[in-house]
Amino acid sequence: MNRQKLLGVLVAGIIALTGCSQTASNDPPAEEEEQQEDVYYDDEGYYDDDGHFIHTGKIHSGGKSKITSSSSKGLGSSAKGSVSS
Amino acid sequence: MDHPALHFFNWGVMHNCQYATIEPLAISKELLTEIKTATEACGKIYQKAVDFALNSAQILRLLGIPETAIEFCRLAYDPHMPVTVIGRFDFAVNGAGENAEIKLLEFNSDTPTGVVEASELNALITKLRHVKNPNEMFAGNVKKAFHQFISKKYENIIFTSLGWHQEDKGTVLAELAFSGLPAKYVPLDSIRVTADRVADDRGNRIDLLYRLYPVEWFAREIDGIKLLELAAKGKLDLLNPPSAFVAQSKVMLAIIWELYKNTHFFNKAEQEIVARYFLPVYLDNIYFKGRPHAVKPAFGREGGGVCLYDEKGEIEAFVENQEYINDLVYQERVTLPIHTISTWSGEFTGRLLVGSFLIGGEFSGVLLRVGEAITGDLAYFLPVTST
Repeated sequence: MNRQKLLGVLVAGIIALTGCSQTASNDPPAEEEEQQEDVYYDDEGYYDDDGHFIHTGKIHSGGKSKITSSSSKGLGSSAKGSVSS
Repeated sequence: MDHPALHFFNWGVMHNCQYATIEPLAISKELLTEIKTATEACGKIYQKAVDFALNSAQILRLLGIPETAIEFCRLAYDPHMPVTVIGRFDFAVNGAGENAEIKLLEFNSDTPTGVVEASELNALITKLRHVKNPNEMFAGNVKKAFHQFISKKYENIIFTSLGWHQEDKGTVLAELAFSGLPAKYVPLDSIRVTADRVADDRGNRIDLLYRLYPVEWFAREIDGIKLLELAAKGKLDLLNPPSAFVAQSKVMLAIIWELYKNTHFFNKAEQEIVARYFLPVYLDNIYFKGRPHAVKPAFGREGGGVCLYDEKGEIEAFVENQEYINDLVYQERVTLPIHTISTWSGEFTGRLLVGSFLIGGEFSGVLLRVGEAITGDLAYFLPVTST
């Protein structure tokens, strides 16, 4: 599944639901979301004059969210070096 | 590097290599103004985009936010506050003065370092050289930002970091001093987490924790997960805030670009900001056919996991790091300008990276570093002055 296409669908969906960013959450609880199907575009689009990819494909659905978990240690014990960023 | 005026900075030599240099680079007043404008403008874009991202748990997953931190990010978020207390943009600045091209490479919003270098060390070097310090507002802005974020009375405020890490500890001690808060430093491994509270080294409940420790690292430790759960329940306040963690993911750059290119989310003025300062960033590698690009992990640090590709798709530079291999973003490449500096072992010619601090939503100082094509842990600190 193309992550960029998923991003495009999610962004479009949130804008459709909220109208803008300044509203409260419209997402269902996480447990329910895990039952939701992912959505994605057809692999269609074109490059604009700046060379940037513009989506034109249709939206489909299918698949399930994949979630990973964590390991087990005390505070600071998983650090391998500087936190510097 | 040792001087009575240096209270916090003691990592002038790191890994037996020189880190700090002492010949300031002078940047023009016009360029400084441009960097200030870029910093505060990019801050506003991030503010709006992070607010957007927090609408959706699925977007947060796409950002690489661990499942164990999603509830914390959404429940502990305060949309009325700036996106971070202390953050730093890293810019590629090509050209001079008001015509300079400034492009944003990344936003180090969650656990930025370089704080002591930009404040205390730059102040000392510019004072000794009798030149102007463009970062003189730094400490005052840190104090102002903390007071902006802290709107209620806390009984026990703790600042923390890895106690064994000299640079991280010195950074937090400086931030604690600048904040002017009635707080104390406790190393991370002395903090205890139980089912219903987080306690300091004396067993006293902590109600505000300022941490120089990444949320995604908390999220892979059992006690860290418990700490995030307590924060999500309102039993502990954390700074930097969760919005800073969300903004730290480089996937935010792809979200901003998507919002800019394919929606009307940003108004006209904001679109101009994105067009001027942001680079195209995507979540897949099929969008840069025949063009140089950089591949970066969502939560990479010190250049770890970054790979630079040329127009033929061949690797030009990379920093190997097995820790950062997931949630990659693909960013159009911009070349950092070449700069030569004086070091103890002679001249060094490298690439100049301009860091710019956003503290409480305000431009607060510049951090210059000169290193390889990918700026890593061993890049030289370069003091800055302005004309």
